[in-house]
Amino acid sequence: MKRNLKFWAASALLAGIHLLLIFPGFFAPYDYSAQNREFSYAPPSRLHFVDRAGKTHFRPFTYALVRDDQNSGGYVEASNKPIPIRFFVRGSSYSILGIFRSSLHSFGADTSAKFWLMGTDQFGRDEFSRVLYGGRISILAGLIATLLSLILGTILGALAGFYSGWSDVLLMRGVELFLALPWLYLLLTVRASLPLHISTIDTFLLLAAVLGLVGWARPARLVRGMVLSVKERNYVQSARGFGASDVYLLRRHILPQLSSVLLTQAALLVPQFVLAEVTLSFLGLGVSEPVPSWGNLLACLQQYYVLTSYWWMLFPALVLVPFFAGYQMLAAELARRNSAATF
Amino acid sequence: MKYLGLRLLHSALLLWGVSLLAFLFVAAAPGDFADALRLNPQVSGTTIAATRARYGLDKSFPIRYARWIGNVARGDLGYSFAYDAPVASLIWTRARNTLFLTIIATLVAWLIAVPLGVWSASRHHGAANIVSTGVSSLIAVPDILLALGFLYLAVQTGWFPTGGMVSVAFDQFGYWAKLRDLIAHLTLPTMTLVIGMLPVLAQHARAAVAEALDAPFIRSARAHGIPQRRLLFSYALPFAANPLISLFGLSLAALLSGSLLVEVIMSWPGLGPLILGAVESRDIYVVVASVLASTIFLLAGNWVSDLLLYANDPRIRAE
Amino acid sequence: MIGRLADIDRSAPLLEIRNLNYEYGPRSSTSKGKSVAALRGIDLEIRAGSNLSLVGESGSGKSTFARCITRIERPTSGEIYFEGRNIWQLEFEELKLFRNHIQLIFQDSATSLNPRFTNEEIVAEPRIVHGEKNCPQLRELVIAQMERLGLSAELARRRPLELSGGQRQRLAIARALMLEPALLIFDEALSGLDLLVQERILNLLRTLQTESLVTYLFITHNLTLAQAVANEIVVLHEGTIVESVSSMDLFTFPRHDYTRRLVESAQLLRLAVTNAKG
Repeated sequence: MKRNLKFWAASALLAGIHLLLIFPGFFAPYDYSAQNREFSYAPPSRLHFVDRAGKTHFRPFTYALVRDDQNSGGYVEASNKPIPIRFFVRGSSYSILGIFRSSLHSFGADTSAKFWLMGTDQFGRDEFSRVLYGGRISILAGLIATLLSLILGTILGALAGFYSGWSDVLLMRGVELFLALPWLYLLLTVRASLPLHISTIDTFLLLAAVLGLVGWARPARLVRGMVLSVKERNYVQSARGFGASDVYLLRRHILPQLSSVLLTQAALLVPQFVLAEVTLSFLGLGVSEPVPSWGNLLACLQQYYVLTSYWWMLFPALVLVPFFAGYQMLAAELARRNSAATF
Repeated sequence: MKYLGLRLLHSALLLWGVSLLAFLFVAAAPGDFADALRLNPQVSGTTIAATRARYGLDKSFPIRYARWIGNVARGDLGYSFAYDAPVASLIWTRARNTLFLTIIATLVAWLIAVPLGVWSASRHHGAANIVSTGVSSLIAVPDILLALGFLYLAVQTGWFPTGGMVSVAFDQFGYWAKLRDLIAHLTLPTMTLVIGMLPVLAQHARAAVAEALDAPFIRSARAHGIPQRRLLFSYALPFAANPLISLFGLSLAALLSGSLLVEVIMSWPGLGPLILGAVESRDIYVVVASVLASTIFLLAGNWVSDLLLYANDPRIRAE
Repeated sequence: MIGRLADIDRSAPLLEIRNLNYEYGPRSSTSKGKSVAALRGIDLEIRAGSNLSLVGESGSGKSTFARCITRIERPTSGEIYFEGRNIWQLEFEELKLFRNHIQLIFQDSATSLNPRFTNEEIVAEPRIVHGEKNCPQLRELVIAQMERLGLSAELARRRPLELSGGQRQRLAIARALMLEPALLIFDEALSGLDLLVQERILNLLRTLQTESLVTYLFITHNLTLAQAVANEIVVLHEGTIVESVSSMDLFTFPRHDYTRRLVESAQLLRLAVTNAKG
């Protein structure tokens, strides 16, 4: 029972995070590219319930910010007019899944005043919105890369394990070669073969392809091992005895046995690939402006003055923690279930 | 023993394969180092072509690779366009710095993880459990957050230097001052790497020791009345060492990748910033040499772990 | 739909084996370079309608033999003819027919049935592999086959691991019969089952033989079982055939030394059991 709780908690956490990231348009109060140049590096807006006059409001509110020229470039709240925060407000329009258009946002400030949950970046863009939109890109890259590496790994591993002989030898040497390098070095090397600045529309797809290409080795080795052992089982031999073709054997008997292992692998790989994307984009070799991703959102922190003065720019990194925690819990649970199953 | 010799040969072959793979990728890049010169309108086309010819960038891939391999055999790892220096001299210091950092981090991590594992394995409740769970939960924190977080801390508190390996005035320090300076600079990168490694190591250490303590031969030894401490150190630990030594080999790849990022963020002058800069400036020989250096470390580490396994486990020696 | 390789010639043997040899060469890691012969100079004939039992202890080469004649393993040398054709020269359509006509039942039913399949999927599989669609007629055929072997229709949607050992073996037999084989090989298929269950299945097999043209090759280490099934018994010892007699003669006139010892220990066992009772 307690174990089951962990599984459902992890799933719920992940579902929640993914939901936020599939519909960033709705959950984010602003567009990721909407700039407010006068408010460069503004700190997170504060929520109040009691105003300066001492009156308590039911609805949370915030104050507009103005430049504080006395403190050399900081901001201070203009305490004249409280700006209430409402749920389900109308704002800038966005597209849902590329098909529908809407302008309803989950929350936001009344009028055109700004409410920045996580502050703003250099160009005054709302960091919270950028985290949501950026997360979508990062996770999508991770998911696509996972899918690619698993598909590639399964095909190669299954063929090598099933047919053995020289195809197996070739595969294992290849796996060894790809695993002989630390993954980030391999990733940088593969990345080096591509143009430094790629048009942003294709970037994250290309990135996902690169990640998938780099990550096929471990799944392939795993699949090959499993196929080798399942291939020898009596029910496979029996099916062969009825004249089943190789394709049939793989499709009906061998590959279904791999399903739970592949699922566990997926749960392990997605966070790894997301981290790889974040690392690459942080280093400037991944997704680049103006498309946001958690990685390039963090890139500005390479400058000391940003790191020390504008701590809210660390939020994209902090958001990674629940994301990883969720996937790791899920993977642990899946692995435990796999080893508990008798077949 | 012959097995270890074979492994060495195998590693050498692997290294060659990696060099080919790396060269393939970097040579496949569109554009080359000379393209950077094009941005400067004052540089003429002939100069660019001459630069290309000088560095052999206009030759075909097989020729370039063959030439490079020939040079490597003579100890010449190529030329760095960006630094205007032979690669070998660059690589040497950088690789040494990376090795230094990773070895220190590994030692510290294992020195914490193994006792922690032993402690939490021999006691099932109370403080040990809490600490162990806490450490395990750190696994969700990525290196990038740790590094940036520590850097932030360093700047806010001023307790640690904010980057680099040594202070500017290092050469003028006396012996102890030099040591103190080095340790001060080492602390943050090491802590980042250690905390990154610790959750997995501690978890495995705990599992390995727990399994060892549960083994039949331990139980019978306990029944014979052998004291707990001796049981732990002379019986259980050597048995638990096997999976841990294997873990060491497996964790190296992640460690080296982690150190790349940490070095870049904390300006530690290792292979990390070197290869990053080389990729950005299309300094192909530096990229290949850095990749090879990291691969050598990985292969060497695995070879060491094989050696340790051989030394630790009499069953392997008997084969 | 399911044809024959050649017109059945009652005079020609169903299965003919000449000088079969199987060696574990340097491919075996345990032999360290020397080759160990699992089968040596095997000559055997099985006629349609006349069951044969192959008796031998563990390690005598029985299973290797079964795997060779079903084309799972390739022998080192020798020829195997099934329905007059060399089995290693068969291709495509003829190979398909071969696979229909000779079926192998393994000892361990639990591993020879895919635990993720339902029972009716298992029995239907041979037909589906041959391209038949999963239609109601097939389903009816499957249920009929299962019931023929004493497995009720309600077990159809269950999974093999929910059945008992005896039921699983019957399921495996039902599956093997779907392709109307000419030769059915039992590789220790009844060992490990309760005696009563064994007897039930044996009766079933006898009935099946009256209904269709199937011949049995029974591989076992149990002399009594061997005798109960077949008219002829062949004794395998360390890879060679040491005795080939009718089951009557085995107990009365064992020729080879090994056979004599086998018979003696079987009788002694029986004596010991009766003595223990009495």
